[in-house]
Amino acid sequence: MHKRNMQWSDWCRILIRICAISCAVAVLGLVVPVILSVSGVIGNRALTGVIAVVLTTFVLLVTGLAVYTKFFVEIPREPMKPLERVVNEPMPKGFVEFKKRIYLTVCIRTLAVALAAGLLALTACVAIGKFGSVTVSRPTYILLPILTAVLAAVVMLIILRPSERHVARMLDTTFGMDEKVQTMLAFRNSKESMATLQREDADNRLQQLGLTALRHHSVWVCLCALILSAVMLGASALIPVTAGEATEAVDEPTGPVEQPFKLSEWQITAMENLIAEVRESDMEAAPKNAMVVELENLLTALRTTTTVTQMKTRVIAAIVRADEIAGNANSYDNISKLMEISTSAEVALLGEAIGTLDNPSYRTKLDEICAVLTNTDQASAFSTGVRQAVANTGVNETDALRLSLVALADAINAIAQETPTDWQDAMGDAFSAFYLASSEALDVQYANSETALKVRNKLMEIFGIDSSEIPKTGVPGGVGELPQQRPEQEGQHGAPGTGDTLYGSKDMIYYPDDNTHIEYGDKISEFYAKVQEQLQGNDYNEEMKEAIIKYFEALYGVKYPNDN
Amino acid sequence: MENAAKVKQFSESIAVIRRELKKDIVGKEEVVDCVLVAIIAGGNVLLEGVPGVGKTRLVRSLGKTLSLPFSRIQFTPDLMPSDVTGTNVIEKDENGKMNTVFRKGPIFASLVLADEINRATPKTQSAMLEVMQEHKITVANETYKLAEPFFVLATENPIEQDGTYPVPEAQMDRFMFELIMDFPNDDELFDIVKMTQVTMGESATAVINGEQILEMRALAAQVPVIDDVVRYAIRLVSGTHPEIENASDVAKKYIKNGASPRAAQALITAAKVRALINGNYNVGYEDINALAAPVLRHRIKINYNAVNERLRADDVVAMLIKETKK
Repeated sequence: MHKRNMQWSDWCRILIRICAISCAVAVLGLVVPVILSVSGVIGNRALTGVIAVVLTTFVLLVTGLAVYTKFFVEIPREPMKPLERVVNEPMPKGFVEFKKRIYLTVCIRTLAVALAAGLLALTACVAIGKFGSVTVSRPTYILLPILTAVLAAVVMLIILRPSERHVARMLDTTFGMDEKVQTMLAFRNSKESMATLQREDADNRLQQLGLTALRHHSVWVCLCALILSAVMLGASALIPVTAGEATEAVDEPTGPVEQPFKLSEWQITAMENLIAEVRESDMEAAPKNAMVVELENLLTALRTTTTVTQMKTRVIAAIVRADEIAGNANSYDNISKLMEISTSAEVALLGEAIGTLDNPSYRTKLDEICAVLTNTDQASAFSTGVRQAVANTGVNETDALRLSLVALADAINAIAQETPTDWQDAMGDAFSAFYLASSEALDVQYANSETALKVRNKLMEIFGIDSSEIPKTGVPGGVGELPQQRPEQEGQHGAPGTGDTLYGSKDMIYYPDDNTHIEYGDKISEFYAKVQEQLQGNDYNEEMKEAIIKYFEALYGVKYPNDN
Repeated sequence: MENAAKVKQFSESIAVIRRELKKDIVGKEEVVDCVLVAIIAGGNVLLEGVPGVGKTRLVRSLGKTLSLPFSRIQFTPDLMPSDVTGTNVIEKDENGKMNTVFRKGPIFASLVLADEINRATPKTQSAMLEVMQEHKITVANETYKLAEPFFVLATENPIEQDGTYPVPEAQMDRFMFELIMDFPNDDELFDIVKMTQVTMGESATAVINGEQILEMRALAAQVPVIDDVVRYAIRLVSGTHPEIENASDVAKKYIKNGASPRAAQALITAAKVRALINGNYNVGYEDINALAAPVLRHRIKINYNAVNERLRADDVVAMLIKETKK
């Protein structure tokens, strides 16, 4: 081989061919993989990229080699002979008729197999989408069967290849013609007399056989395959999917499954009891009413709540709201904090005494403050400090604690102005009056906090909410500062019921017979049996009986249970 | 059409020949047909069989039927080549002058029976080589062409091996067919005995001549054969060679030496004749398969594996046919 001299025209042709090749590369190497990827046939983008690169590289290599050898390397060739166009003589009639019949048979077989392949591919898609864990996109339902059918048709045509030579061979084999038809085909253009005789003889024999002699078993086999694949498709589409196996062809990923929630009878009873307890508490009227309303609204909302998440959201919101009600109603915390930062030590001490709320040494501290204020200056400073602290709290002017502090400040100031001879007595009287007034106010505020704490604990217990799920309210005077449970009950509370068990049945009780702690629910039936026995056997007060019965109704969540 | 008439005449001639030969030969239709095929195809035949099965009688009947000059050469160990081909002798002419005259040997005939060819020495056997292949004799630098058609039918006694000389492979290759005439069955023997009680001579009459045989030969040569069939015949012959790259399993296992290219030529030529005899205008695979054994059995050498397994050449050829793809 040797290199040829390139002409200007050669370079132009190269350029044109490169443009054509680029278009072919773009279509084959890029567009096709992209279409396959977008349509969802190829879900993996990395695979799509690999296919695109491989196809592109292949096309470029082949075309590049062709261009190089075509334009840069001259391969010596023999002079080309004039193209001899061979015109074949037409085949005899008998052969032509058989050929047409065989071509038709091949077409039917190809069509049947292609359809069967397409249906099988569709069956696979339906089955995978229905019973498998893989989601099948809608374009795949269309493209895959079509591509499969086309591929099957191409393969069938390649295999069957209904050329004249194959037809001749098929006829010889099928009818035992001893290669007569093949010879007839091979020597179709021969003018020799023996070849002519042979053609006539072969054609006569074919015509004697007739088209009906051609059996179409293979066609029926292909048609049966088509019917079978249709049946399989129908079966895969009609077979029901059980509840546990149902899958949906969705594109978006599904989130975690929501746990269902249904408000039980005992929870309703517990809520109603809680509401009654709040009503009967010593809370202030306004916050009490607000808390009752909040609890009633919660109960109403929980009757229509269907998921645990929703339930917890509503209950936690109610707890937070209860804290806020109590916090907004109480002023002691706000007042005490401002008084504690006062420059006057006595005012700070007074603020500390107020801030502890339930402080048994509250009176003692007041006496200490009273004992310190021995002269006019101290008294005036104390009065001024109290007034300033109260004024800076922003607490409502009708607040009882504020009023008591203002009254104390006025009384101390009056004493400071008048300087009576019984200074200590006057001081004592003023502080005594303050003690009575402030104690009453503080008692009410303590009741607010205590009730809010009870509401929090009860709601947590009834609905199984952990304290870590409750956000900090940050409300001054909220229940976060009160102990959550009394020391003597520590460690003896069981887990709350799940709604399907008896109220309190998971609580742990000490069972003396076994000298161990057991769940109350394990023994409640025993207790109830004994109570029944006593109620029936003895003459008890009707009111007492009714109370006992109501108690067990509350536990069981139903009306007075039958003997069984 | 002219050829159509010739084909018709061909078929009729064959039928007539068969009928005439039946007068002298009981059974052995396959052998008779193969001999006819060989004659029309222009080949030579080696007949193998025990004494008394009708080998010589077949040839003699054939000679009468075909109206061909017939000669018989009884091969003996002392037979000289000149006894076969002829020799120059010195004769005194009318004027008393001594001249050298060539006396033709018995080979100068159309149908030559070489009886018990394996009893002659290799030197004498080789005298047949040139005449069997080229149909001419060279004696003392003089070449004498034999008249067509020329046909050698040799016989061989497989029993008596003492004092015999195996036919050289080169000469064996000159025989188109090796036909085996088996001992007749009881029915055939009954017919033979009954027939020969009437007369021991041949009753066949002349029904065809040499010129007609040549016409039949020319007609048979025109029978078309497709390339696939030719390649099949070639694969059969190549399949007898264990030393080639794509040798058949049969050849590797049972054959020591394979057939020569003459076998392929013989297959095709004879298949054309057979096809025409059977009324076909083309050669088929069946024709090749039917003639494979007569063509190959004397051309291949089986090895000790075949001998150990008590296989004959025919068995090996049958296995080869089964293994060879069409």
